[in-house]
Amino acid sequence: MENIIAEQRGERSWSQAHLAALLGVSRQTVISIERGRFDPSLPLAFRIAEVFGCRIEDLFTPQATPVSDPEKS
Amino acid sequence: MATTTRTAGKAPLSAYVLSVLAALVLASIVGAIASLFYDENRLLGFVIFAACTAGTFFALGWVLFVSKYTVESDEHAEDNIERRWYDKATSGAFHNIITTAGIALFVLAITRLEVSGMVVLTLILVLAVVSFAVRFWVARRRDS
Repeated sequence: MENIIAEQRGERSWSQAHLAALLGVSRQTVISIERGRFDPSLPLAFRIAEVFGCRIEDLFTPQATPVSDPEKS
Repeated sequence: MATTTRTAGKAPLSAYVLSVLAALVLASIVGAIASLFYDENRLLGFVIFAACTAGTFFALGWVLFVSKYTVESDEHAEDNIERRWYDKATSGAFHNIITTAGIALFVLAITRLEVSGMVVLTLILVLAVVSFAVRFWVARRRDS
C-alpha cells in the first residue's frame, strides 16, 4: 500500500521520532510505513489520519487489485 | 492487548533488594533439590545448580519486584512493526519445531534408535531459539 505520510510529515517539519511519539509507536514503525514495507493496522491508520487531520483514503492508496463480484461471474 | 513495555522510572532500593533475595532463595532451593539426586557429591550438585539457575531467578525477581516501577505498559504495542516481526518469527519457529519433531520421530521409529530425553529437549530448545532469532533478523532486515 502506497502512502504520502512522508510528504505530510515533511510539510509539518516533524521528525519521524516526533510522529512516532504522537502515534504511540516505535520510530522503526513509522520508517517502515513511510517506505511502504508495513501496512498499519486499522486503528493505527485512523490515528495517523487523525494526527494529519485528514481521512485514511487521503493518505493511503491501495495497490491496484480489481475487486471481483461473485454475483457477476 | 498490551504485551510490550516502555521504560518508566526507577524502582526503590527495597525492590532491588527483594528481587536479589528472592533470586538467591529460589536458586538455593533448586540447588538443594538437585543435591538430593547427586549422592556422590551433594555440595557440588548444590553449587552447580544454584549457580546455573541464579541468573534466571535474578531475571524473575526483577520481573516480579522491579519491573512494575521501571517499565510501563504500552497500549499500542500491537501496532508496532516489531510485534509483526515477533509474531512471524514465533509462528515460523513453531512450524520448524513441528516439522523437525515429526521427521525425527519418524526416523527414530524406523531405526529404533534410543535417544535420551535430555538430548532431545536440548535440541528442540536450540532449534526453537535459533529459528526464532534467524527469522526475526530476516524480517527486520526485509522490512527496515
